[in-house]
Amino acid sequence: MNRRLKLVLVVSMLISLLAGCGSGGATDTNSAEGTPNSSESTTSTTLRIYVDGNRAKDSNFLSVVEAFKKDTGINLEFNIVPGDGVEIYKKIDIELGAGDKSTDLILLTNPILLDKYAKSGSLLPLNDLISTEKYDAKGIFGEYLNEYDGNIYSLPFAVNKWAVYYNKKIFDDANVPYPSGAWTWDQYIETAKKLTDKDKGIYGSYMLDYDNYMYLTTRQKEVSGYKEDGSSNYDNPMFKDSLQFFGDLGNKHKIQPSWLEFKTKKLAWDGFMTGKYGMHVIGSWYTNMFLDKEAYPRDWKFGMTELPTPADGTGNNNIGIVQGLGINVNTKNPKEAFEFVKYYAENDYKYSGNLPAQVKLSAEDIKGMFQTLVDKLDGEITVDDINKAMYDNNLGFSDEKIVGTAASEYSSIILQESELYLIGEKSLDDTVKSIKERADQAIKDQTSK
Amino acid sequence: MRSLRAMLRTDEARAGLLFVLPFFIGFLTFNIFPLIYAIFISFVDYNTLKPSFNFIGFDNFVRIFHDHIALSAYVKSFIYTLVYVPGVIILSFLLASLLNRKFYFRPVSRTMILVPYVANVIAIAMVWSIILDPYDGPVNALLNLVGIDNPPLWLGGVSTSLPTIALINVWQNIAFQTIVFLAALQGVPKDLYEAAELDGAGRWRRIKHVTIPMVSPTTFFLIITSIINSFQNYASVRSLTNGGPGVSSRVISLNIYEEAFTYNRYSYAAAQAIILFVIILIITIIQWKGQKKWVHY
Repeated sequence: MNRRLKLVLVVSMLISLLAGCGSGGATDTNSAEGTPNSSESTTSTTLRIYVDGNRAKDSNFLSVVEAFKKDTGINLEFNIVPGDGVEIYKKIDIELGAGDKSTDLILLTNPILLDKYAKSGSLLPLNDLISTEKYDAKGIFGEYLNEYDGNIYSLPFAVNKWAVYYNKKIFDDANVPYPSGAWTWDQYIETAKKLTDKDKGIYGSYMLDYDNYMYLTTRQKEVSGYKEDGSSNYDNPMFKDSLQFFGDLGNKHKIQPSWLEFKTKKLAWDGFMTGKYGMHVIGSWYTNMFLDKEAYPRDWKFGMTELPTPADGTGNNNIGIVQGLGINVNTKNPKEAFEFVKYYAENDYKYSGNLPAQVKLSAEDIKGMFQTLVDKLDGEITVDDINKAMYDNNLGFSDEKIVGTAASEYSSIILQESELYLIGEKSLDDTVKSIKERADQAIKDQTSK
Repeated sequence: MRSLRAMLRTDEARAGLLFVLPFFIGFLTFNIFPLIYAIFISFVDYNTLKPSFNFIGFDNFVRIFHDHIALSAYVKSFIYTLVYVPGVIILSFLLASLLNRKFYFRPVSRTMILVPYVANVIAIAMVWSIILDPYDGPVNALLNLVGIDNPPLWLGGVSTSLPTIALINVWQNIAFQTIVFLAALQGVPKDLYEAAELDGAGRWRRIKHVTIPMVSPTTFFLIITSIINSFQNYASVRSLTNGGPGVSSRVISLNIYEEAFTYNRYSYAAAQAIILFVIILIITIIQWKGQKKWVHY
């Protein structure tokens, strides 16, 4: 072989090797539809959105996307990030930090994410788009619309309120009437005790290891995680009470797996679906779990009712989070991206079973929406059940998370320290004291930056 | 330089250069450049989501010494190493000695010990969580049977979580060390044992005066690599306890990961990584210097 030809061959192989290394970004791009309509994609804009693997397959989400494409003629592709829940935001952090322009839309599934991206300038302020289009954001979303120093960075597409889901079979077997209407945590504990049957491996209650279980009743009382001066409010005795309350459920009342049992047995976030637990305190996104009978086959029916409240009457609130959709500050298509943000915020509930974060919907709209869900569930629960658990009750609404300065650290600190109390390694007083001290330090570090 | 140029004049040398070029480019891109970049960002204030490159000197390094969690994470890594390295070296040596003898299922046994080594770390985490479950796992059930009232909490206990992870890692990684030891043992000349036997050395003296000195270069290599690996251990801690309970098993590599990817303090995480690099470097240099005393080539 000619010497030059050899050289050309080797060099071209090398280049292709390097090119192969660099094309990673393109391989995880999938069209939402599989193959995009070629005539459409050449004439219209194509937007991209970050989604995790589950959402990319979620038929509800795909339906909203399809409807959007049909109604607006704008194409939407997925940038699928492997991983679940908040794990995917580790990659998104890096891409946004590096000023990536390739993905226009970011789902903000909890308020800590919105807080982080808004404050770091990663999201596009929507104020100009809203005023140019004379879009009545405040009228439609009311109290659910989040603002940072007068800037709106996202529109809310769902409000995820909490509820108690229960397993009707376990109630029937224990001859306990189903819970309904207003009730207190004491009544919850009493009910769970009647349901708990250790011999059959049945616990009356199930809760997970999220940070906000540690301060659930405190948030019901709308006590903030921060003081006026910005420091941690964890020395407020309510935090101590709510941690003790949570610990007692497993350690003292023994109505649910203790923290140690939960951790060492690696009990799952979807454990309630095993049918071994009487009641589950969780966000209303959980309703979707009952739709999936393939992943969760079950021989029992579920019911749902409103969240119990502290007996002293000072915390008559449901808790929850508002989920939003924002736009990458570096987007090349702000107008089209805003089209999707509006569309998704206004219409997601029609497809997904999420509760809309809108204030203009009539009672009829809401009932109609629940009817769709009830139909999908083959009438397992009634429209009235969901409506009473979510809307038609006397509960107010309070944010479930502590959102503010150094929120991620604060959350980790609460989990790390509370865990020591929950497994009996640290006293309650020492625990809240070290949470307060460490959180103050984290807040100080963050603000001094 | 002239000699290099002269060398490159031959076809063979140029072809050779082309052949090493892919590796060289890869090494520069994926090893050397990130290392230099890590050193660079450890001296700037890239501690938010938005990149920021203002030079702040040693601030990130100084901060580590006021950060109890980071300091304790270095100590945790050290304790982990103290359990893991002796465990894996001693056990793999014993196992290799056993496998070096002739016995019935020898080929099968040699293959079987490789199984944990090729198993997925998440699968291992699940299996060990079941085995060590303090409520109704088989290990504690057995301990209860033999009359131990308060069996350890293993992965769930503050004082036991870290050693437990270390021992699970010993179990998983022992295969590699055993195979290397086995190769070394097979390289020990038979006549040395015969000579020792003629001189009246018993089994223990033969191991002490023939086997151990003869395999010492291998032992040295294995100790150095296991120490480095043990300081970098992340995956098994993450999947077994995620640093818990509390921060009782939060080793430094986990801490670095959390600082960078949960709190977005990239510069601070880089500074912790550089300190870890220096610690490993010092330990390796000390071992290198100390080898004269016990390694026989």
